[in-house]
Amino acid sequence: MISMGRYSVSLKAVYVVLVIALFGGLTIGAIVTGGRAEVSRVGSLYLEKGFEFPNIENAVFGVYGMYRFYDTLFELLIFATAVLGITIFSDLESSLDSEKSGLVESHVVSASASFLYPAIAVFGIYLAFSAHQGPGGGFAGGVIGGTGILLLALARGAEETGRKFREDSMKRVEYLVLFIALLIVVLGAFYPDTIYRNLPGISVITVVNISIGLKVFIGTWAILHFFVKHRGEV
Amino acid sequence: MSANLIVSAISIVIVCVGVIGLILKRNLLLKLLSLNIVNTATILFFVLIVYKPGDRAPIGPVTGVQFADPLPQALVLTSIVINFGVLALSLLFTMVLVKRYHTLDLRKIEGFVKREFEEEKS
Repeated sequence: MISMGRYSVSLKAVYVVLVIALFGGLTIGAIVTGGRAEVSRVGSLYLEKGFEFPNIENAVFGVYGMYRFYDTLFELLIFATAVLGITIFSDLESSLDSEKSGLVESHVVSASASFLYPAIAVFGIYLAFSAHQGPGGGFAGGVIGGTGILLLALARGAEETGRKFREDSMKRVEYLVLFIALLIVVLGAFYPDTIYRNLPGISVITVVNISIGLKVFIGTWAILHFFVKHRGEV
Repeated sequence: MSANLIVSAISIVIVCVGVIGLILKRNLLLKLLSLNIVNTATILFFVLIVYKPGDRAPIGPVTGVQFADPLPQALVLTSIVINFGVLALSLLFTMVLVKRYHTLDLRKIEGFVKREFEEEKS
């Protein structure tokens, strides 16, 4: 392919035109012939059945936390695989210390970070706790907590923030969370009524949400910390 | 209907920009950026599927209200998180390649790999 020179470029252009024509034609055709689509058949089923659970008022959580929990489980597994790869390489590269070139410190950033971080963390935890009754969810809460930690790293330096949050024990918590999600899936397959319906109070819903939130929080921080460490400083 | 067509045309154009970058660019970082652009256009398309004027967010057992479809919203969550993980991991592999071959050009990297393979063979 390389030796063909100009010919290979024109072949690629043909590929591009073909892909664009296929995708555009299919999409516009589907929209024109489909007419005004109502809620899809599966979606309306979820809407009808989702509110039957005693504690769930958010139908989106009903989809990803109850009906399509396998989907969420494999999503968590893919995310865990990505974080695991990054952690392994981060351990391999830790012997090579890159030169530290910190930015000029600004008092505004550090003061506002220490002022804002508690509010951001509380908001993330609130979103993860209350996702079955309102807008939010474990994913959103975890990402909000992770970006809050990034703000803290921006103010005080990544190394100190990593030490403060005890990364080594956090990695163990990450796998514990995966184990909890797997446990809920396996138990829910065998005893669906006990797991999903008959537990009193907030039951398994909050456990699911908190574990998803913790997983995303730790994974986000691990990924961000790797790139920050490699670059030197934020 | 016409607004739907316009937004879908926009998302198709964005996907085309991403695909063109993915196929024609030789820089690895630009390829990853194009992949991200394609993902963004996909999310825009999901939003187009869900959005209908007058629909409410599917929260609360309220009767007499038309709710939006909850399924694409859950799929968008999956799409965002997986895109984040895949992008981070592929950036890491790009960093490893750059550290080893000191270039981002895919053709040069292919040439290096081919040469190494032939040296190993002989």
